Amino acid sequence: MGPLSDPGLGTPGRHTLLERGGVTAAGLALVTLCLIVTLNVISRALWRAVVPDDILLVSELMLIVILGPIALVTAEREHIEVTVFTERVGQGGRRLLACLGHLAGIAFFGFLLAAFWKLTLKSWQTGEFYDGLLAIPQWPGQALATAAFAGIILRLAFLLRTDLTGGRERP
Amino acid sequence: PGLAPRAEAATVIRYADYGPNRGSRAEALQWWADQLKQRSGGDLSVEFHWGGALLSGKATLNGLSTGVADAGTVIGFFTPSELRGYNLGDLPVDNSDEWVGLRAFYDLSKHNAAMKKEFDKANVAYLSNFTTGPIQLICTKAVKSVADLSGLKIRASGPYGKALAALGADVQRMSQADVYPALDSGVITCNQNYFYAMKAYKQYEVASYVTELDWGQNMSFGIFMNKDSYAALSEKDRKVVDAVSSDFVDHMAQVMIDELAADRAAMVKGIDGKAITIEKFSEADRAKVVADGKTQVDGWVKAASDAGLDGAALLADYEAKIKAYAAEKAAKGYPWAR
Amino acid sequence: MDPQLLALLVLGGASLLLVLRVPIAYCLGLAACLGLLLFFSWRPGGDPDFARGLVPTLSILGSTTFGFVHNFELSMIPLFIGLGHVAYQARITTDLFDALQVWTARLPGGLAIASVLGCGGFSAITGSSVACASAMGRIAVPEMLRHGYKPTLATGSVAAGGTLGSLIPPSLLFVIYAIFTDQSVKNLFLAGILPGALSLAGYVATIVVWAKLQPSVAPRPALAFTAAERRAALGKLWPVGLLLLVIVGGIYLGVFTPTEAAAVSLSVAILIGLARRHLTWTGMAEALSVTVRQTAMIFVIAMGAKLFVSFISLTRVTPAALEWLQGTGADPALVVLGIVVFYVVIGMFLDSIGILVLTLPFMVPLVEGYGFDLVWFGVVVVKLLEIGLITPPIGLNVFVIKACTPDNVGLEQIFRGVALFLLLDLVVLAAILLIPGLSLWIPAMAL
Ligand code: NA
Ligand code: NA
Repeated sequence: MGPLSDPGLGTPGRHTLLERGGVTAAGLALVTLCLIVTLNVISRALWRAVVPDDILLVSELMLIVILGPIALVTAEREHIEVTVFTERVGQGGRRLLACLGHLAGIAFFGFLLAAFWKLTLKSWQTGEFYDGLLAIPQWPGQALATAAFAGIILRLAFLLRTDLTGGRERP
Repeated sequence: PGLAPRAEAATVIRYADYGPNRGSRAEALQWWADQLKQRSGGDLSVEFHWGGALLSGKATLNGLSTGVADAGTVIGFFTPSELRGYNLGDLPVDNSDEWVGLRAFYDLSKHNAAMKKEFDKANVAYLSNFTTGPIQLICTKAVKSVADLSGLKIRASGPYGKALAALGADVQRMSQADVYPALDSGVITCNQNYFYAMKAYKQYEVASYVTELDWGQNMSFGIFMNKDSYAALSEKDRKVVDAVSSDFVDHMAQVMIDELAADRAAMVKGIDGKAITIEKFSEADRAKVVADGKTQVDGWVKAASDAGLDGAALLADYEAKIKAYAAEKAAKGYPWAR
Repeated sequence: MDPQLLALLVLGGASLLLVLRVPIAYCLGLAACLGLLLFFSWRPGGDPDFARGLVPTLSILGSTTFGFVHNFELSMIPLFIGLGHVAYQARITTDLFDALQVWTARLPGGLAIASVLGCGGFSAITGSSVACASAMGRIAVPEMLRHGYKPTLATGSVAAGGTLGSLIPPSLLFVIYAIFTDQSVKNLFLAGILPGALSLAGYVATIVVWAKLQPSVAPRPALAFTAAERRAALGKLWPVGLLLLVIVGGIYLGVFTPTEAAAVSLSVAILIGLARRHLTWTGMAEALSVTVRQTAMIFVIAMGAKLFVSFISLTRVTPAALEWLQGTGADPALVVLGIVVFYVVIGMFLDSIGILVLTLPFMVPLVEGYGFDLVWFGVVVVKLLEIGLITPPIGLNVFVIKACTPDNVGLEQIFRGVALFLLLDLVVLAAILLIPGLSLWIPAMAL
């Protein structure tokens, strides 16, 4: 917790192209959704809303805004932790605790990966779409989210290896 | 097994509902649960999870089919493809008597083979149905004709939104909770709504004209059960569930008719000095509205056929049932008044 | 397995992981996954069948998580975070401070007052307290130190002023509270206005009193501004004024919804920045990058919490606990006092979003069960969380201020600097608790 980086653990190494791309995509998605909403507010006041299904488009973009950066955020060890109870633990112990955290993360996101895989598969099979003018199919957004969870698991596995071996971080 | 007497284990039905545990729909659900308990001699009880705490409206169909909950309130709107047939209940069909519409749609959903196939595929069993009552418009100015709809900013949803857009309205989407300030500030002029929700959301305070379209109902939301949970019930319990669920339709219709009439009267009389004026379209204009609705229904029939569902046959069955129940009502009145 | 026993076991497991420094998101998320799996696999009186339990488990995990990340209303979170960062990069925040400084120059502790007022103004266009503290910290603290202010006042005032970020709307904490309690975001925003204004006034008063009693903490600068300069300063306020107008117009006047207000104000902030050439592409990229990373971090933790709530609700452990508590016949006022003490203590150690998602599943049924107003309770909780931001040993705002001050200013100095403000906070908290109208009058007027 807090902005103070943990000196006991390796500083983040290079990020993969995909991780950096995820953050960029998220930033662009945020600007896009901001523009869509603004455009519709203005056009609605002047005449009528020009972007159809804006609520659905924004929801789809939110997937990118939220899930795009999670692998990089994980790589930077930015997730909030409770640190008060383990402040006196030494460097070796700190690394072991970090490994426990990575394992818990892998298990949690493993569940989510499986869940989203099934969700995607079902939407693909039923051809389910969001009711609206554009009839946006559900599976692409869900597939993207599934990929994001796979990415974060991969990153956690790298972090686990780094902290286990005490070595430098490499993607 | 064997001859030793065995106490029948009580079945607890875990029920997921998207809405709050108050209001007339929640009370009707509680009635359903009480009747189940009473008529099964305590065998069946219902454990409610309100407010989407267990499953949101969007997630309920999937949650029921996988057994997250045993039963729940399914909203067809969220699965336009998986429940294509059931979504017929939301279409603008000239069918605005609560009891006739609900009874006909319940019969269709319960007994039509194509519907049964659809529900089987989704691994759910259909038990019973809700309705919103007839669709009306609440507006900040008097809307008296189809011509008035042209360019009018209306908040609407689902197929009625598409139908209103086809009549020239500028249709906006927003949640019912956002409507009050939007009407107040003039962002929208009208809202597609039902009498009870106009009153519940206090929209009469900021918009004093209601155009009574009496234009079909929203009925694609009902009580469903996980198919395996349903099959696992004892023969006796399943009969109780079916009987109570069928009676629920009459109960629901009566509740809605009484409540809508009371809410309408209260708003016309005025609440804290705010009253509504009721407007009606001329017969000719109402015919235009119904004809426009027909176009939407035709669109649905075509899309259904493209997806391999005989939409025309389903629609014909539905219309026949509406006719039959309308005749029954004309001859004998509502069941609770007989 | 008995569901309530299962809930206790899972709760114990999650607490253990929490103590062992596992990220809060993983603790809650994993506990929820395993709890759900056990719940569905092991019906009371039967044997566990994991193959059967996995199907509903994955189903609820998938749909709950997806519903949470595929969400229009929640776009408010990245938009309001982004607004703060863009306003900083576009120098809108700097202008705000500069203008206020001109007007407060003659008051005792004038620069500190300008900083706190700046925090208040910036709070009205950003959703996050930490963003507020870090933006004002970077601008105002060096300025105060340069004019010979004692570090205690210079840092303490901004650390405390930063806590206004979540009380004065818009506010992320209110948005998250709204999600977990099913309350209206708008009502919560409106409810925060008076308590926020009261806190702001209190902070200003604290500075005046402190500077009067101990003039050495805030030497009067030799600057004197002419009337023309003061008029010119007013001109620097228009960007903040415009953003405020968008937000107020949107949220309070109903021209558009809070989500739309967030999007429009971010667009306006970007446009102002680009038009005045203060916002560079690098600055913009930096603001966006920080925004989406904070968003991802917040959503991962909220996702874990959301799943945890589903599991807890499934086991029905909270109604049972509530029944037990009410059976003890404890006085409701005592219960509220207990809750307050609990939040103050936990606020010493944990981060506000973490506290919110960890405690709400249990607090809300409790508070509702005793018949308290959930909007009022939201204001109480947010004020308590704000207090937690400046209490030792873990005070996020204090850390943030530390990060933007010279190395010779120690953490203890900053914590000493916030002491007086904390005292004032307790007074405001008492007012919020004893006069629910402070929170509820404005929402009541709006409907
Ligand atoms: Na704020
Ligand atoms: Na603290």
